[in-house]
Amino acid sequence: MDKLEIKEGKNTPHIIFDPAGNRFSVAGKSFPENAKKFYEPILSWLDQFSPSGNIEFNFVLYYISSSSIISILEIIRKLDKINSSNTSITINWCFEEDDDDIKKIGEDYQRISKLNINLIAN
Amino acid sequence: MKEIFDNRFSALEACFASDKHEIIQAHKGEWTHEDVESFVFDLESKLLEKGIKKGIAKRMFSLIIEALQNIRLHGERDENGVQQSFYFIALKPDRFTVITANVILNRVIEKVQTRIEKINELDKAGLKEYYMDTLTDGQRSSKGGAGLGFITVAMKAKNKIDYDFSPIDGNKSKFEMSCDILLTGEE
Repeated sequence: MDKLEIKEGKNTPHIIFDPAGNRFSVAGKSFPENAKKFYEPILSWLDQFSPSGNIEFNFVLYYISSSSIISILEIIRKLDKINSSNTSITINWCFEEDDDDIKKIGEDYQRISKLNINLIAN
Repeated sequence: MKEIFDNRFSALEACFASDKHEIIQAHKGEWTHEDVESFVFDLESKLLEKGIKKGIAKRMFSLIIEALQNIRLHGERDENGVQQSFYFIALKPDRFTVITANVILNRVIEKVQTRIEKINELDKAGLKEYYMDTLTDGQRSSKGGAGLGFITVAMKAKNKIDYDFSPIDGNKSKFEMSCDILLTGEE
């Protein structure tokens, strides 16, 4: 499957989903005015994604608006569906050690999702 | 309609001046999404320059983004198609006060008021539960919002939301919202 890469914008994260390179990352800040529109191609890409083996998705965000929180939850829900007996998906939710806000968002996702979500303080 | 917003903006400016409260940032009139980016990055710089704790600065950043994007998403327009609105961020000895105003349709006032009243009645745990229920439900409106705006403002402010609806005409009112973020205490 082709790589998906979206360069970082003023209010949008750098996104790279690269199956061949086994690299899956959402990094930076996310507060686009229309989060639904921004994350649409990412969700569409995930609809076609059929991995096997162990996959780690790394989220390294330092600001997330409320509408982006919902969009990222949509990503996590898609990953929930992809996770199966052939595939083990792990999410690494990274945050700065003193950033309680981002940590709490990760904790919220842990409550909602069945995936293994690691909270990693940098 | 512009006059209503201009007069109120001037009145608030005078009020802050007479109380010797510093206006950190204020803007009157419609703003673009590029303006929102510019405002919040400028705000972040100013707060850090003033030595405001990183946690407080981050909460202010979050709150203002939510407030300004909400107004862009939901604020109605005047008779000339302009999205009349304003906001203030004022620094008082122990807190920031954020005030925003936009045009609202009279027929949605009850819904907005009910939502804010519900949020104001909740304690910290209750607010978190309401936030989680809304997040998990995740239903987006036709405008792309999902009901987290006011909840997020209240969670970031860690205080009640004060509000006022002032009639403009038979269809529309001015909706003004205010909240405080304490400089001390739990971050």
